[in-house]
Amino acid sequence: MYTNAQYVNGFDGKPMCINADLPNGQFISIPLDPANTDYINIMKLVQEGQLTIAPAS
Amino acid sequence: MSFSINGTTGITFNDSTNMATAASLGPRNRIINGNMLIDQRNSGASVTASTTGATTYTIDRWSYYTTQASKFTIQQNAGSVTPPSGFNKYLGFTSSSSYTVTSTDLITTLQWIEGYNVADLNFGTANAKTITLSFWAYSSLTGTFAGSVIGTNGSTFRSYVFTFSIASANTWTYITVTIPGDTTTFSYNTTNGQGLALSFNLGCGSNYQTTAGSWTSSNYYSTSGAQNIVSTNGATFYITGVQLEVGSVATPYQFNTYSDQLAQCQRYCFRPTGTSNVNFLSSSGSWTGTVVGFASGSFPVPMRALPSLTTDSSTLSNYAVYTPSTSIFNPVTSLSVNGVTGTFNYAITFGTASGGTAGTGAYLAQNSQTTYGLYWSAEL
Repeated sequence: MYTNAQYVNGFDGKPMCINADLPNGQFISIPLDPANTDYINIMKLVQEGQLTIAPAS
Repeated sequence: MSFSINGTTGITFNDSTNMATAASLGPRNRIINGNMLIDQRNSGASVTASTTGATTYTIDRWSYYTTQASKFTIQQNAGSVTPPSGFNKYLGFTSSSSYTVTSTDLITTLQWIEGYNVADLNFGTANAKTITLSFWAYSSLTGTFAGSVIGTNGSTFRSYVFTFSIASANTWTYITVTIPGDTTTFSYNTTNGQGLALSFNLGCGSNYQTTAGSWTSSNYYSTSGAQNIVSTNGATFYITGVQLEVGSVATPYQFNTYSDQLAQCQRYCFRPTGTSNVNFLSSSGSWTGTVVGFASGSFPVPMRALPSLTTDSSTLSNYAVYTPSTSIFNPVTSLSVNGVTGTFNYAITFGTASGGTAGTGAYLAQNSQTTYGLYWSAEL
């Protein structure tokens, strides 16, 4: 359900969120919070090998 | 007003309503937006979930999960029937086809209740409390329907499937279901994660069916023989006045003021809105360079967890940065949840192709707050 997933770094050079597109034409920016449902879902897809999150550019 | 008291039903008022437990005297409904009034995301528009294996939010706090794409249209006040007395809104599902479910199919609408809000039920212990569900249901179909209450410890589930009957088609029917507390030892989540879910079955296969009327391990949503609404093209299923409370007697629906109910919803979803539609300025901030800056603001109530930022359009040029000192709107090229975002305040890092001067004020603007809105989500 997520495409074009990519980490985004903050001013300190460390990842601060994951940006991705949603299939319904929406865009989402997800904080790195284990209590955030979107973060839980996207990391589950990564663990299952269904999604790769690109490193920050 | 007169009333009577006895040892079975507690206090009975002269309008035949009951209060059987002291818990009935305070805020008692564990369901948020049970009267289907708040719809921040869609503002009453119809939703068709085209994504399978994922959750789609319809009106506030109510989600829809499906393993099959585009099987229902979902809308506040779908079909424009008259709601039951005392209500103005309902949540409506209309089947888009005649689909026969397979064993692995699951189509359901549900609301997860935050663990904090069900911690007092003592589920998973010998002191688990009885709960009662009440709601109004309306369907073009008749017969036995099913739903379930589901709990989790974060990795495994417990569930209780219940059934209810609608005898007359296209007629609002008041349903009450009393559910014993789950006394089987289990570590129900009692903090800010998923606590209990209330689910209504729209179509599910045998893998998600079990015997109704008892608590069991795993997550089940229906029972054999119950209506699968998805099987009938054009079939409707509407609900409102959903209340889940402690005790064995259903009390009248607990109405909240609009502002209280909106605030309850905004712990899980906050969509900034304003009076200006075109070029709506949703938050203010500052340029930190020529092509980058931030916009920040406060949430109306603390979010449940650090929230995600979702834009209605992935075409970010529908959003812009407005610089008051130049009166210029610069299209956005990137938006990101800033690392300082918390549950009380947020910051959005924005990027543009040009237009900034470090230190000057800026606003994040939307071409249209309705078509190109954005919202914060900390749903369960």
